[in-house]
Amino acid sequence: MEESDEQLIARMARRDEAALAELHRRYAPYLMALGVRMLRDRELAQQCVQDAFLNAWNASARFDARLASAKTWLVTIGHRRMLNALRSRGPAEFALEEWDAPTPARDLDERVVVRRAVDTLDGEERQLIELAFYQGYTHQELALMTGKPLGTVKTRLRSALARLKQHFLDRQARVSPSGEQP
Amino acid sequence: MKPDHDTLIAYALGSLSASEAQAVERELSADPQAQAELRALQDALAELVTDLPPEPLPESAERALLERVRGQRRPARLLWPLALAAAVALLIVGVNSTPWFQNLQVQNQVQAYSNRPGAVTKPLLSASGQSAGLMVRLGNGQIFVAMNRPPSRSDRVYQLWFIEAAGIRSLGVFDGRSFESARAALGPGKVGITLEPPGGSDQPTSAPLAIAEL
Repeated sequence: MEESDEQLIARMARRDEAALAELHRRYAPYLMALGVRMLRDRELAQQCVQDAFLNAWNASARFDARLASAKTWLVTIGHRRMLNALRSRGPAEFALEEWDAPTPARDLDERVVVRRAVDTLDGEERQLIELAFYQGYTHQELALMTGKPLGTVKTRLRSALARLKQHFLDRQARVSPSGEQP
Repeated sequence: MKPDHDTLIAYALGSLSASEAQAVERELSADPQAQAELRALQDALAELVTDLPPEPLPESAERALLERVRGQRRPARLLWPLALAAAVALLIVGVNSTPWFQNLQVQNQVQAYSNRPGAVTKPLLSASGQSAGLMVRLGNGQIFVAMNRPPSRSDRVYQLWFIEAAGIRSLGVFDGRSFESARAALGPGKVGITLEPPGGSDQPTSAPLAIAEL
């Protein structure tokens, strides 16, 4: 059976480079996707991905599975690294409308299997998550950019995160006893 | 005081300033309920990332990472002197009491500042030659410091000083592990760190914890 991510990190803490290589194979393409989306610069994104995995290697001895899953821990490391790069460099040209467009409205009688977390959000929530998570804008900056009151921005982000949390819980609940994702 | 839900959301999104994030981290370290709340938010946001269509990396990416791990050297451009590398290692691993997310925050800050054009990075050394942290001098005259640990006394803050032939002046105070000064015209001299009462002092009231040459 495949080792868990947490087991790989435990091996990394014992300086097992093969474990780092395996974790890199599993998650580097997703961190690269995050980096490209945030930085719009493949070379910089690649550098940030490498930095993130190096950070993970160096911090592996301090990983505590009670505080975060390995996946969340690694994604958070990568996200923070890319935010730092974004803020050091300044954002690329980014139009407010240039975000993940919502899927068209579906027939309510149709059975829909929601596959992506972002599909659970409405258009306004997606826009705010895009600007906050991928571009690093503060609540105040979001209010200015969207023309909405700060209170409204906070309320919409709360509802967006509530939906994303529920989607995560639903997905966890659907994991089969064998540990495989549906 | 427990951070409110909107603040935890902002922290999870990464949209707090460094000082705001440090304040949240201090509160989180004593609040398991807030930690659980943060974990739920971060788990949810991590799903956004692993739902993205994966982007391929060059075949050489894994090898380059392992080479860097083995050498623990900076990518492409320069090799850090031994003292500096040791200071970085202490920043990453050596602090026992701070949460992992705070250590990584500081580590990421150091990398980001060190990578700016014209940046010069030096260890902050105590009188006995031990590493107390790192200093990055930026091309625009700003100084970024990262300490190995927060102030050792809860009734004290760190104060950053510029020491030159003409005298000594304050560059600012901070109560976390990292700090960025305002732009300033700094000639030849040294920077030093002391522990001072909250709000800082007009002149150092204690011996410097660490010093670095500019």
